[in-house]
Amino acid sequence: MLAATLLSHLAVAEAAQTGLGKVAVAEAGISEALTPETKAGATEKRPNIVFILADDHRWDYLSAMGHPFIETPNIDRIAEEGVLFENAFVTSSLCSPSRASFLTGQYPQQHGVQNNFTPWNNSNVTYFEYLKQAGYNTAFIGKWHMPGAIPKLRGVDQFITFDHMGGQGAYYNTPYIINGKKLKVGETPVAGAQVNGYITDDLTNFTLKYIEDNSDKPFAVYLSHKAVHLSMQPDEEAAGRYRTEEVTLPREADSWLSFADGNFKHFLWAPLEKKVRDYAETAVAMDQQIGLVMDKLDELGLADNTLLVYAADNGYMWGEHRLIDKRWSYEESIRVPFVVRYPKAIKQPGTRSQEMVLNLDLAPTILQTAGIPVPGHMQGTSLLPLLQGEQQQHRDAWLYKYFEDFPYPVPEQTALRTKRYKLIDYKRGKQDELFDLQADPREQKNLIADPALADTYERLQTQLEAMRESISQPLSVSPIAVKH
Amino acid sequence: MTWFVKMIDPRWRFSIGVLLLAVLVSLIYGESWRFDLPLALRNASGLVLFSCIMFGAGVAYAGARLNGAMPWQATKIALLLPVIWHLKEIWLVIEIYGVGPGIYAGLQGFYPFYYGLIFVVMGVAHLACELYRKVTDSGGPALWCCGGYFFLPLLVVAGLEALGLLLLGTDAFFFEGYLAGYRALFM
Repeated sequence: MLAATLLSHLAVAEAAQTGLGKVAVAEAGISEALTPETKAGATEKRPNIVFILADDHRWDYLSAMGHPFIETPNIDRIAEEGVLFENAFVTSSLCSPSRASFLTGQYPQQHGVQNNFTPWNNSNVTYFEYLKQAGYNTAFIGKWHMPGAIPKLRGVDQFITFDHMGGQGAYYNTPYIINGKKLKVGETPVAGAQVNGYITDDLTNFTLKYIEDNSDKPFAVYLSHKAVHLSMQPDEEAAGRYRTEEVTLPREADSWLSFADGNFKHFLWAPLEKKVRDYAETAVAMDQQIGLVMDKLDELGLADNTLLVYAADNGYMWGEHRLIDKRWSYEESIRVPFVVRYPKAIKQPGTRSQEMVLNLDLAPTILQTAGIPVPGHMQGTSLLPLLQGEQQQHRDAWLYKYFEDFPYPVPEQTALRTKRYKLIDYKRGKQDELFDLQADPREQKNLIADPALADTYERLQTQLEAMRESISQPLSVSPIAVKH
Repeated sequence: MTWFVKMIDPRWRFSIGVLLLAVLVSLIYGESWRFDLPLALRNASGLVLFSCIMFGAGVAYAGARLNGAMPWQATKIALLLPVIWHLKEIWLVIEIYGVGPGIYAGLQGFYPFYYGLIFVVMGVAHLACELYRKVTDSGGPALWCCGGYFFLPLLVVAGLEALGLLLLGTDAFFFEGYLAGYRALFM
């Protein structure tokens, strides 16, 4: 098996080096990657894959993370029955680049979706292509939100999405699109699945129906919610649930911050405490729907053989550093929930991992779990060994990059995040920053000019430059690909 | 204070007063967290600051009119703070994206609505002044007729926005049209 895996990576690398396009590389990789057993169909059914992606859900707005009032029993249940990665990050804290990274396993410097203007290049290879060739039934359901036209996504059988409001969708009455066909408001893209108007419920209904219809085959579904993105609108049941909860803002924030210095461009337009409550209520409404997906897996007896992952495309700043929104390299912006349940592999349910995992790791994790070797062009690393408890260490450092995104006054920035330090290199408009995250987890004290850390700064700077260089190199077989 | 009163043209006093107040509360609002001043005070300073930005033109307009300015003069005087705030906003974008996109960002997007609202605020102040003059019989011909002009900019901008949504299904200013314009001009 290992030999076959290595051979497949070499095939991918060779194809890449001889100038074949990404698609050709993928095809070569897939055909070589499938071992005789997997091609013939293993005696045991391949695991199902359910990936649920939220929008703008920061890592600590979970009851499992000790939030003072939010209640997320279903996401907590995934954590109790699986692994909660407390240090999960995205490599670019903006919807489009982060989403492309989840799908491709690549940094934005490679897949090319760098901000909300740079379009998705459909020669990018997603993990769906590998799953499809391995015999999976596949569906993408929900928010696509990448610039450019909605593509014909290779490897996806059922592509339900929307382009309403520039791809953002609305919480109520979003018209859906299925496999390129635009539907009217209220029209369902899936026969037998109800459209009740609230987008989180609708997307869940489509997913439930998909799971029901495909329960006898291995399937992979990507459920991409609009929640909890602006306008942070909960359903009727959750609305007002936290009306009386006291919201404690960060020390540097105040109630009117959503109007200050360009923050008003984020459309919050209300006292911050009010929007925090809306955000929490919207998350609760989504959590309730996630519970329905889990119930469906239980009902159909699929839970044990299903890899279930919940994550978000980026975090959200609620006044930290006197900032709203994401984009910045600060923890609240780049850190996301990342919870995985896979009863077959996880020997210690309820584990809380402190390892640094990235959105790039999703695609390799899915492929490895499905028994498909991870191709060389994926820059993430499979989490399966961590889930199985076979490996304790994952990565020591990684690179964050934010590309400017008009009209938001956020400078381009590159950051190196290690377990202890964060170095942020701003292109302009702001002094570079160095934080000791152990001593100063809220990143309040910039140590860039601290003579005591001069050597550390130099070492981190060198490491940042080296990583900046390496992740942008044309792809061939990387050390990641031959690790397992 | 006496110096201020003597040196400044009476028609400009309210406008400059609003500007100075905004600068002062801006400092308190932006920096007071460093000194752990109470949240209530910081919130109050924020409320005053954003009220100056949104409604200060009305106070400045009324102040100018009651000190002898004609509507056109009073309008110019009242726009002092909004224009300075607007230039600051443009500068924030120029710092990151350069002059062209900065100017575009200042002309498009939220700002046409902002000026539309500012004119509505001045229109309300104008009507209040006319009512005051009528009630107090403080002389001069009544200028009710020009009150309507103040409401035109917002009507035009909101009308264009509504037209875009109705005909094209997309907004002209706030989001999609704004970004589409940027793409067309700068990408």
